[in-house]
Amino acid sequence: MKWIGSRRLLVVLAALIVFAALTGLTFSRRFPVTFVENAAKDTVVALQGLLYRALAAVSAFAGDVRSIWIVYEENRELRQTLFRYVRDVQRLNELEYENERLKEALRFTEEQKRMNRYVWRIAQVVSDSPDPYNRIVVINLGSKDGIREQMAVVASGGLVGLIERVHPFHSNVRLLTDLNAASPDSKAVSVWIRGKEDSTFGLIDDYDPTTGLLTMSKIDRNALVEEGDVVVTAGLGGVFPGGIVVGDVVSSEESAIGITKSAKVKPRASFRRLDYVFVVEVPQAEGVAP
Amino acid sequence: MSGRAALLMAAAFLSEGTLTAWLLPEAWADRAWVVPAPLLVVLVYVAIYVHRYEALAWGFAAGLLQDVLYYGHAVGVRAFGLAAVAYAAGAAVRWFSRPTMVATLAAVFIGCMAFSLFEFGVYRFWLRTSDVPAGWWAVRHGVPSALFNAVFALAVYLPFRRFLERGRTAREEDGRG
Repeated sequence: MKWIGSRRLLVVLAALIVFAALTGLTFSRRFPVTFVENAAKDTVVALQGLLYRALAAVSAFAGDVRSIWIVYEENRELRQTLFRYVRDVQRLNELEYENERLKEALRFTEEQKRMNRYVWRIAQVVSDSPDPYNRIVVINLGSKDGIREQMAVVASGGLVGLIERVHPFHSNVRLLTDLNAASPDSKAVSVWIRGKEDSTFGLIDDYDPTTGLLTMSKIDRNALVEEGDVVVTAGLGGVFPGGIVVGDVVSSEESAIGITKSAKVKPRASFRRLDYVFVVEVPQAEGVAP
Repeated sequence: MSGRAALLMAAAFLSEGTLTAWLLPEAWADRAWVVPAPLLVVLVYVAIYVHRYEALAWGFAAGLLQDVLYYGHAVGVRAFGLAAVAYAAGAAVRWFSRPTMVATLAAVFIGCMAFSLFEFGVYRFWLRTSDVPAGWWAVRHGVPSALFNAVFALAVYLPFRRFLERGRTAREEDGRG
């Protein structure tokens, strides 16, 4: 069989051209969601959801069986936590009341008062992308439930990702482990360090799979960033919520040029075997573009 | 078009993204980036024991559906990768030897490495959305994943092969030899 000059070579070349065209055209373009895509998504993901949820239930049950012998210890610790929680709730109520009174005193407009009332929508994960370089999970809330692109997704622990693409009944979540500073397709998250908000603004824009750490970059050179500092979202701009924990600082260093600092952050959330997540809705004030 | 191949493909497609997310032990996550790929294994089996053209078509269709479902960066990576690797596996086994167990397992191992390499190459050099170094990819992702899938292929060798071949004896042989 002659390889060069045969028809097979033409087919391979044609396939390569079509591949380059297809990936090039669909790369980092936000095509609006089409009917065909919705139909495919909702049918397939419905089936996948059954399997994924069943496995999540099995895994949870197995976890329960495994930990039955430490339930007594856990019970004791939980009682103590409950007392602390009750005390914290009382303090929270006090603070909320004081907050309301102060806002009244400063004559906040109704719009300003509503700004930080986030709505936390619980969602179940129904499927997980098998592609290791395209970290997407699918949740079972969609545009019919009011989900929009760029909403924050939080799991127990901390920020997990952003809503990337919305269909009527399901949405794609781009995980933080997909962030890459060099990629034209990647969106950074603006953060600061809890307790040092004035001086430590930065961007989480990169995740390194070899170390498992996020990179917080563009921090002011003179900012004091220490190991153990807690990184939370800044939430400026009214679109992305603030105060959500992203992770803890592991190390910090000057950038290559020396103008800014960067820090390595260990994410608090786990990105495997996601089961339940929260989607955080920021109530839109009038006049603010969504 | 083989109905039995369709059945296996449907089962494999549903399990990718659902079973694969829950199957791996957590302890492995730190040491290696194993990505189970039942879809690829089934495609290689279809390519060897049914026909490589059919595997090509199934690979393209399943890959395209996966790309559209999980549309994050670009559409087309898995579609072309799966189709090309399935076809090449079928053609290579036919070219180099008869469809024996060793040949099948070697095809699965090399096919997984090739598919991993293709994905890595596309995302690293063509789309530039990842900058995982090549050495790290080979040691932590490429080889462990391919080994895992080869072991999976070994485990399902007899049942899959019998399932697919029983469907084939009922139809005419075409294009072989």
